[in-house]
Amino acid sequence: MSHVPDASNLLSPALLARLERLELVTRKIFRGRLKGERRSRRLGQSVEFADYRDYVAGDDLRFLDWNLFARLDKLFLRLFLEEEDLHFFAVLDASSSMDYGAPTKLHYARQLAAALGFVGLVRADRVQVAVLGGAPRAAAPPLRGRRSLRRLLDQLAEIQPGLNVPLAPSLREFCLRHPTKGILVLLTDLLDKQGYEQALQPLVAQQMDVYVVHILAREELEPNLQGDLRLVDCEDRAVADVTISRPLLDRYQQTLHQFLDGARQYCHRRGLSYLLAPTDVPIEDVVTKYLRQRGLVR
Amino acid sequence: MNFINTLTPGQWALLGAVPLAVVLLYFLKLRRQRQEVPSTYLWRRTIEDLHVNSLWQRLRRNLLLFLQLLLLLLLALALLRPGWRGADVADQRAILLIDNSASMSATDETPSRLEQAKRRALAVVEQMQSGDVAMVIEFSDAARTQSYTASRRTLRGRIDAIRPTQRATDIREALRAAAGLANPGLTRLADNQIVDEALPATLFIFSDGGFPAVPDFALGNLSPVFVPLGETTTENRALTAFAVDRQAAQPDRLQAFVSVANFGPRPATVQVELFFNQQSLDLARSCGQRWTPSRWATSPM
Repeated sequence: MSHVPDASNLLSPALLARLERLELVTRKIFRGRLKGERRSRRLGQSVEFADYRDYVAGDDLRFLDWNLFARLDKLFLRLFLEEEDLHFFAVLDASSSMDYGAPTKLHYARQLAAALGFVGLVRADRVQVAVLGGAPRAAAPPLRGRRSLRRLLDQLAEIQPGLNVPLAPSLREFCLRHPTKGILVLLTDLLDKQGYEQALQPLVAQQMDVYVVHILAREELEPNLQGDLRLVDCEDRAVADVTISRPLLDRYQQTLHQFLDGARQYCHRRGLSYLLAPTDVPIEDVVTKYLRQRGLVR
Repeated sequence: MNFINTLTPGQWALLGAVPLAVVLLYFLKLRRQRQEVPSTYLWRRTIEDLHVNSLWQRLRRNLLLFLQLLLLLLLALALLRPGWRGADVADQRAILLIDNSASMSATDETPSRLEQAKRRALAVVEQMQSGDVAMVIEFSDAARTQSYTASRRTLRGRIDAIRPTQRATDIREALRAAAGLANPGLTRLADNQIVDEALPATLFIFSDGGFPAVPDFALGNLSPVFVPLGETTTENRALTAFAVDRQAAQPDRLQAFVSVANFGPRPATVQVELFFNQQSLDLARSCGQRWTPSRWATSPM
């Protein structure tokens, strides 16, 4: 595996130190596949006692409470809280439009995925990175454990912009491919000419805890353009002739806010968490402040 | 405010086509700079409903275009030659010809014709607007020309400085000087005078008209305004010549020559007394001839 040079600059040591104290949270009860560090509502095997119930034939004799049997002459089964793991997906949009801004939106998405993935790795969750429109065969396997951090960073660093696929089919495919439960963080700029509404629909059906992190560059929020311009779309080479003027910029702001509000409301109504992340907001703030407020991490 | 149309309708149509051409050229000239953006998604939605008036959106706030159109508008306005037409001195240049010949000392105007002439000349000077220039030429049988000046104070001083003379009237020299200033190729001034560029001027003549007609004079660029002074009916007699001469043949005798002219409209009898060493001499013997001047020139122009 070729080592991509910017794998190391995705996360700073200081940020890692802060992230270590965090953990991924979900509002939904998930059934993990492997025993993890996460306390589950599901009863199972752990050191933490939960309840008693009557013994029925076929129960594991190891969990019988022999002391109670001795006192009451009845068979009770001790129930414990199950500890389990969580499946965390970081889904990145790697279209050309993500290759804009300083730092680029894609780099920002990588950093965010790395930070959240690290939180997951530390807590022994399954972390999986996926790229929209990426070849399914080449999909990265789930990672687990702190030691996998290097592999996670390499996987993220390998993601190159240029995968210009519409959001809708690629997200649908992702959902079909991963019917599991878990947390899904979608890192995208939502700039899809066919509209993001259609694209996010499969995520609603998916029983996942979905976070839509809307990454936009400062140039998109406050365009610094002047004069008569022919704007060329870097993805489909579509052009838009504009003459920049104050009314036009005001109009742009209006459109932008409609777009952002629309996305926020769309997500809100469908139980998706939405977060606008301009690329000039530090990753640390996004993770430890905004995503914390929204309950993704604790 | 009135306008003088200087163009034919065809020329106006041509001029009207120029602003349209300028606007048109702006559209032809418009070369958009290519700028790659992450997505035109938002921009497309922004300009969607502005497409209808994008033509005018494009021209809005284009300072250069506005300046050019303004310039054309001003040009068109200038071609209309706007201006105020007034009764006062609106000319750029005025030449004040003030007669200070002997006849101007007549007192039928108060206090005298010359004073009245000076007063009227001063009134013209007062009406001058900034930028207007004027010159004062005093004339009797010779003309004293001064240079153009825009300073009213200087002009006032020059007019005040005019003194009556005992000379006859000859306007020709003054007219030649004025014409030389107003018409190119006619400049005939003394060396020490500033020769201004020959430009049209208004010629004010303050005179009682006591000069012969000048039939061979061409005004050219001069537009004359004659300000008559005095009454044509005023009795006006003058001692036009007086000379005492020693005769070569008889050195011990003196001969006096006196010429009396009557400029009045009617014949008159004049009594002439000659004093010699405060003694009145008897002139009756040698003189007594009466004559009337040939004619009273009332209309010099």
